[in-house]
Amino acid sequence: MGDILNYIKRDFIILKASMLKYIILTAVIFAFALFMRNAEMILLSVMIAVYIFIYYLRLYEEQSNDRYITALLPASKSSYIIAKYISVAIITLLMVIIGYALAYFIPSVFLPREDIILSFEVVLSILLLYSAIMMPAIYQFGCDSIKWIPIIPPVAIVMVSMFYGRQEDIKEFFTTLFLGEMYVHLVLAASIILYIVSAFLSNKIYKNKQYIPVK
Amino acid sequence: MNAVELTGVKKTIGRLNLNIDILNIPQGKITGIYGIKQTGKSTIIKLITGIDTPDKGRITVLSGDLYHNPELKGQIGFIPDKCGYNLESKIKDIVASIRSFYKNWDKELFETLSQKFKLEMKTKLKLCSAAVKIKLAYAIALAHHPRLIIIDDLSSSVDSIVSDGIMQIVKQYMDKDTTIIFTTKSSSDLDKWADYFAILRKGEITDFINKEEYMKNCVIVRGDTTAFEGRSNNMFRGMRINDNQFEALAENRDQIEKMYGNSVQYEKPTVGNAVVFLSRGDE
Repeated sequence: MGDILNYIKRDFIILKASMLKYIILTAVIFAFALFMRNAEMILLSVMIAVYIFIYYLRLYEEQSNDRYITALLPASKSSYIIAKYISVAIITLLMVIIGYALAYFIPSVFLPREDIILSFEVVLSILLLYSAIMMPAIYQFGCDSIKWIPIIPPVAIVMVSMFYGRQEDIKEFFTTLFLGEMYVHLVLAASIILYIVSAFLSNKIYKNKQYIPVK
Repeated sequence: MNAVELTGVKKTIGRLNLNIDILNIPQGKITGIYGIKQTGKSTIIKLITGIDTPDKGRITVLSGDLYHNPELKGQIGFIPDKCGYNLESKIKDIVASIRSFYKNWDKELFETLSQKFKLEMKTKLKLCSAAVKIKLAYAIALAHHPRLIIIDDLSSSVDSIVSDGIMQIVKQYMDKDTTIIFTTKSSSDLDKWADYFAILRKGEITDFINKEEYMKNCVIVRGDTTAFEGRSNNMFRGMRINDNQFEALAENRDQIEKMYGNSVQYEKPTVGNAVVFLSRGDE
């Protein structure tokens, strides 16, 4: 447990310089998207922001000799993977909370409480699913090999929503997306489970890999 | 007792075939691994540090298997050939991100070393010189009292004046039983710092030498080729014959002097000279 906390601390310390600017940028886009009552924009902005963080969390180790430092830290590969998943979950949650908080305090976009909670759950579910798919791929193929692939899901969501007609109402968009309001809680629970399963998968991938792949 | 043991280790990476029958690095001593480019120095370091695994063979570090026992890594201080820390971070943040992993982290020792190395804790690493970056790596590596310090390419990123200064501080502040392993392309590093050195040629360890004993006994022999005719060459290393002049390194001075008397010239080699003869092979 100590090693996991150390890795999380390390992620946040290293990202400290870049983190604030990303969180502010994401929150502003997110709040703007809520203000515009544009569901696709909300998803797109937050997904891209999460992608940047996941990518950066892995990339700072891949693109420098930091991989040697990481490889020689006295902690297991499992701790490293668990810590990365917790870091990503914290960042995702933080960005969604800040975005909604900003939107909440802009009176003209004030949504009914139940709508905010509902859309919060949906956005969180989508982001967890998105990370759950992306992270094992990053550990299997490396950041550089798949750098454009993670852009596909957010763009696809926007395209699909445009194809089926623009959803002016955020609540309607989200509930349509998940086949009805009653399924939203279930989908969030399923996303959390899939996120945990993804962590096990990444752990398996990373355990069987050398710390520094031979090129 | 050995700090590191490599037995029957084979590793193929691209065109490099690393093939080490046996390499035992004694505990509490400084061992240099000498080799020119592409001879496998960094690969040996990767294998010893558990960053990579061998295709075949067994590697024991501090009596354990580092790859499968990550906690052993807490007893190792590693200095990469280039700065490995995040350049966007301040030095104090880099230290904060690493120290909590080490149970033996000595805050006072780190502060002493950072003063010796003149590290400015609030400066971003990207604004620091190559010398400061490497000094930071040394300060971090020493501050948790490692039993084994591994230095990848001792003089690669800084000039010899800086690396000499750093090594003097390392020797002053490291614990008594600490083992140091370094790789180098410079024979003068072996002369200055190594108790033992290994010569790496084309992926193989051709010699493992106790420097003091070896330098007492070895001699460079020069003379006319007629003086060597009809005699065995197997006492010589790195032989060269140019214009009827013979030149080689002999490893047993007394025996050679008895055999050749005054018919040849003898010269006491420096470590650098000896390494040149040992690493070039016979022609």
